[in-house]
Amino acid sequence: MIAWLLGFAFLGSCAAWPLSFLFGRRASGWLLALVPASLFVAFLDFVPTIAAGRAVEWRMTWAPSLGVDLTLRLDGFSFLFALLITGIGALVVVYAGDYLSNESAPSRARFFTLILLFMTAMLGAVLSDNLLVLFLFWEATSILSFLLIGFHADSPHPRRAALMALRVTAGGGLALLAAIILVGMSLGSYLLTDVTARAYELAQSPWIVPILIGVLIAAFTKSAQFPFHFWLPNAMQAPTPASAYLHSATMVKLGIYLLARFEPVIGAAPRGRDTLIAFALATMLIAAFQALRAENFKTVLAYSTVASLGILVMLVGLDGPIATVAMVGFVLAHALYKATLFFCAGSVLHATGLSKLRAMGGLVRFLPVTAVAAALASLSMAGLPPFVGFISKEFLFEAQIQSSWNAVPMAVAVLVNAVLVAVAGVVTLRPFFLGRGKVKHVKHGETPALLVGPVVLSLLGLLLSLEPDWITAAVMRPAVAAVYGADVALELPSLRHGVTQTLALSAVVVGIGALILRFWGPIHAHLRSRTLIDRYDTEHAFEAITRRGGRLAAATARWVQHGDLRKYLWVVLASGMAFVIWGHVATGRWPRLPDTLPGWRIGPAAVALIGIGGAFAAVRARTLVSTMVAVGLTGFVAALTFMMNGAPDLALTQFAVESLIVVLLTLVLLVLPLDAPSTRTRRERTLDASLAAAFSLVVFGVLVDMSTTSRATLISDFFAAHSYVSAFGRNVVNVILVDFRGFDTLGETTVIALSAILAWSLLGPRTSGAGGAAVARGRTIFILSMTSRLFFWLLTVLSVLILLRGHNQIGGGFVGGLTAALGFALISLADGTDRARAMLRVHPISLAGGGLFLAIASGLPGLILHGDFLRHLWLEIDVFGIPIKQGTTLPFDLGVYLVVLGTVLAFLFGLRREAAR
Amino acid sequence: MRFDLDRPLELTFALAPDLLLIAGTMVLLLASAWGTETAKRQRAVGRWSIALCVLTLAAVIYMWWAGHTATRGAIAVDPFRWATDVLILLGAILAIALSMDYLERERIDVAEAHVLILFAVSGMMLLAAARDLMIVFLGIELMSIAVYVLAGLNRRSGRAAEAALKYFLLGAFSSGFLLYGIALVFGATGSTNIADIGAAILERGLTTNAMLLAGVGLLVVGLGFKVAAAPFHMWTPDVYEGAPTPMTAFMAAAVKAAAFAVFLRIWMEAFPYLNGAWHKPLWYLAVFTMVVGNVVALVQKNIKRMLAYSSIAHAGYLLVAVVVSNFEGASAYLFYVFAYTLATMGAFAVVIALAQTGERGQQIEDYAGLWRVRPGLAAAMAVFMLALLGFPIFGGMGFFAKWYVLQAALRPPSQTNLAIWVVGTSLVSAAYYLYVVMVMFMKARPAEAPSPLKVPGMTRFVIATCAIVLLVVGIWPRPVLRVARRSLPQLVHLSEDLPRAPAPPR
Repeated sequence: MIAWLLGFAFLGSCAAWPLSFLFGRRASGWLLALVPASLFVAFLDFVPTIAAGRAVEWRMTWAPSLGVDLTLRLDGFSFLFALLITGIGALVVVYAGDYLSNESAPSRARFFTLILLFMTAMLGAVLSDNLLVLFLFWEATSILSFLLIGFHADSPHPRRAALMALRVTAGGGLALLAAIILVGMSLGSYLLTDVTARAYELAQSPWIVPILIGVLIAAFTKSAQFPFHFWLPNAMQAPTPASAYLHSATMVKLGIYLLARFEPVIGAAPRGRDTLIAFALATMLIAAFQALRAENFKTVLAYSTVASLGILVMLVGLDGPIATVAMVGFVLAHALYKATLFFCAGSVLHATGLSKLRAMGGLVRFLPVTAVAAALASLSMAGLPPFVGFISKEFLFEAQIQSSWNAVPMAVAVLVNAVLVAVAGVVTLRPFFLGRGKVKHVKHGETPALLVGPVVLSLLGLLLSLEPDWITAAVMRPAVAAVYGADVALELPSLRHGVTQTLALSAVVVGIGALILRFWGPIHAHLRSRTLIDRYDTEHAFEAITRRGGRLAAATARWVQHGDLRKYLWVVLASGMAFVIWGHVATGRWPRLPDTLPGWRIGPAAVALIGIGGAFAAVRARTLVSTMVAVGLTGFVAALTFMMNGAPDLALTQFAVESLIVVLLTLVLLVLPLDAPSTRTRRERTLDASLAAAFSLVVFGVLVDMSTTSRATLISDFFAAHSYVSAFGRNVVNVILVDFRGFDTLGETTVIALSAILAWSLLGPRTSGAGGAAVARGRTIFILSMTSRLFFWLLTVLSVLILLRGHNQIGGGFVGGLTAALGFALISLADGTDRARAMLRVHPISLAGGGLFLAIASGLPGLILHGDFLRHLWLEIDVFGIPIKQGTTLPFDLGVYLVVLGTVLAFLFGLRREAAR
Repeated sequence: MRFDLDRPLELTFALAPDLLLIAGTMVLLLASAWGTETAKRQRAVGRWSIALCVLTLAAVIYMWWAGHTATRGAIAVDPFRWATDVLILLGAILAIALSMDYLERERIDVAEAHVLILFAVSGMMLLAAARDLMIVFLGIELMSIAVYVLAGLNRRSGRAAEAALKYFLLGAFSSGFLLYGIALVFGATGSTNIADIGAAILERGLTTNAMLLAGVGLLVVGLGFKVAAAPFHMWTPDVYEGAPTPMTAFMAAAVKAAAFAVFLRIWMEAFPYLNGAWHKPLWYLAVFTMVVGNVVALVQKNIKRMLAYSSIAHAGYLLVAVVVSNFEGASAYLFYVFAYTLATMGAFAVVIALAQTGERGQQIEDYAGLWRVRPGLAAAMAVFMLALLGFPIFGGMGFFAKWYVLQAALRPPSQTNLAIWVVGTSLVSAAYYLYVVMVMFMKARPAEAPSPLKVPGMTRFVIATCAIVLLVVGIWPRPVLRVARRSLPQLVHLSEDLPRAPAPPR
């Protein structure tokens, strides 16, 4: 049932958009108010259940695996809130219908949609029993209130206020999320009922302190408590109906709602109540002080709201049943009179266009009904009998007397309440009754829609006090029972009891309040002249933190993201080094030296020396050419090392790659300034060199250490043993490539061919045809030109040889392809790329593509004959009496050869085309 | 059925969707290489590319539905792979759709762009399937080479050229780290097969083996680069800003998804027993990534850069799934990436829709008052921002995604501190995501601001789809959650008896 109500609220708010266009300016407020009004009536249906002390529950699995279930629960406390939300909601919508009549139609539609959505979110928040669902609705109210505060977004003030409110409350929401997570960790449940029922267990949790911090931050941000109180007065930029709804009656009470629900936990936790009361007192004092200083009608009301919220937080913090009674009563009383006052303030602002209290006066002539409503509400706010405000104030003092706290809260409460009395007087007397003649005319008078809200609520404030039985039985007692956990017998205070302590306190409050009211002018002027507080309040602190945070972030951004590739590389290398070091640290021991050091041999030593020399040269090199030569040297040393350690195949490949790189780089360098000085400063060089040295030392140490542990892998033995038997090849590396891991090789070949196509299509001018034809021939060196032709043929023949003998001897398709490409590179270096292209005759891409197809095709015979792709077949034929054993590995290797050749040439020609652009 | 991966025909079948995609891509490559470069042909190739992706998607879903499994081999056949494939293909389809409009507007009539995306997708699908470090390398290179080129696609833009070059150089570096890492791991365990590595570590007690641990460190560097984890993230903002926007979206969504898929698989299957040694560095990597991404995103003025940093932050959240390396983490990853892909793609689609020709109009301030001139775009962008923030209800499934990651972190042995870091850094992220919302809804539009161009059909389609799916799943997350929960990697070494010698020769 309650889920249907929630769904109805949501549908109603969605329908508000089209409906408000349909109904037009006059009627839409009245008709849309039917949504909350009918909800209000529907909730009244629950009165028997609630009055009997039962709760209505409804469950639906939503995301069960994540522990998020839509568990709704309507108990006495939620019931009070539901009635306030829907009841005041209906009046707000009616009011807004006229208040916003000057706005454009889409703008009104937006307002109605937002405010009804907001109502839905509020209902959802107070109805949900699952903390996570509560969190969802909580955040929804934040964003909706953000949109409502910034409704008049054309000027910067509402914008700033809206963003501030959103940052504060949405941030608080995330603190709530953190707390919820920890609650779930501690209890294994996210249900609010479990939190209440197992409060002592939760208080014993190791996470109790962070949980409380999270809950308090969430509640304090939402309910505008110190040090987050500043957003609420700023939020008065919202249209008044929204202020009346959000910032008096409902949203700001959500924090109180949460605190009340967590009250058992706070009470059970060490120093929980102290903290709450301390913050509440600070809030009350600051708010009272600021209320005296404020100039604008709505700002005065806003600060008085903050003070009232402080009182509520204090009441949650106080122990004893009466504190709960007082809290519940105050929630109701405050909602009634504060919403009324906001309505009246809105009417005044709307009618006069004025916002400062000082400028107003004598409005009773133009707005008589509003004035009466404001007077009634103010009397209630001042706590005078026979209004609801009186009853709630009596309970407030009763709760303080009965609680175990000392006199400080009491004194503060007296003072703050006195200020509230004065505020109540000021906001009624000043604009309406005093200063006749200040306002000469108003833009418009009172309309029924603008009156319904204030009249109904202010009269309720009187009626509920005169006829308290129904409200006590149906709403207040169940609400108190739901929060306190046990039924509390209520005895309403009355003047008939004679002079009691509480009555005396009330009288003192009214007396001081009257004094403040009498001297409001001087006090106000005096306090306004004190500007110190404006500089040192938490709003400034918040802004300063935001600003500092921004500056810090900017500094971090500059520090992390400078765009300098060299430094990026530096950091990547340094972090990589850190990870390698950690990898060794995790072994839990220092690097070891092998037991037996290998003997001293001159060959390897010389090679190592050359390598080290190359490395040093590379570090010191200042021009591109010298760097290239130095790096090339280390590359050749690597190849030599491979050769000396029994990997001739690898060495051959490395040699080919190194040579090719040199040639390619030369081609590129031809268009770059060869002797351009290095851009690195001396310091940067030193840094780079030290990082290089450190990393190489680390890697060296780790490698030496590795050589002490016996290697686990004996896979090379496996391949060595099976290479010839099953694949008829003696060159293990080649056999692995073409046979054992033929699939992988085919994949790599595809990648290489792909890169050829990419290089071709992306390097060089995009217009087809222009190609390399326009490349100006560079200087050609005669000797190079003469010899290159010879070398070209040598290299080509060599490459074919390397390819053919690959399966048994050193070589293979990859090295062969590289060697052949080297020949073409030489030609293009000597005679220009055009010449090389002419000699190639075939398009490099066709070469690569053809090679790929050949490689794939070589696997087909195996597939057809044996149902096994890339299973190589062997055939032995006699050629002139010499038996030649050849298999499908040759076309495979040839394919690789062609792909490599085509790719390198595609890059080569592409680079030249690019250079010629 | 259960594929015997030693039999090539069954291996081929197990790779059927991938092979289908590669074959189709080759055909499209030829189609795009021949003929003149016109916008019309670019669109045609784009349409065919989408069709190919859809076809592959169908194949993937068929394989998924058929419930095949496989023996321990070079590739994995399990729901995790198919789910990842679906995410990747989804990202690709959206990216191709976006780039069709984008390329036309920017007059980059390069039909190969779509083909490059398809090549990258082939690499990513290989990554999703890889159960062998060599396949991992192959997939990463296939993906990366195509993406390097995509980043520099706009030849007229110096920024794009710089981006592509930086990406390529740093990427080549990280490939070196990765390869060296693979070599060391192979040296220590005697295998490149992920499942065999896990088994070898367990069986031979290699948990403190120096070679293995150093190799793992290098692997972390290589993979960390691909997922853009801080401090290996430096390329990200420059590249994301410089690259054409649809390609940026593709990189931010699909590349990250694929890299994380393989990261997770390696960690869950090969190195679960190294948790003692490598848990802490990964933990710091995750936290550092979250902090750097979120803090630096705060000050960005350019929306693409802001989204780049936000993607770094999200990499941090996703790293949480790697840190916990359990089944919960794997399904959280899937769910998260689904939400993240939609939100990121949608956000970049809005950026594309609002940019003026030549990638102008990408400052956040340029979105001032968008709500007044293009309410639909503003509302959609708000949904994407809130989804990225993990905001409930209005951010659709974004909240559930973040909550899922938190759940994974809290599953025992719980990482409560990590969860708190996630929430805390999300708090920071609220500032910049909400700022965008504020600018769009509340700032007045300057009089001289150019009115946004008409949004072309494909872009509109992408924006609407992303927003609607996000919201609908946010309200009704159960089916997606159920799929994510069931799509777990199949850990072979847990189910099969332990290691075997290298494959017997045929």
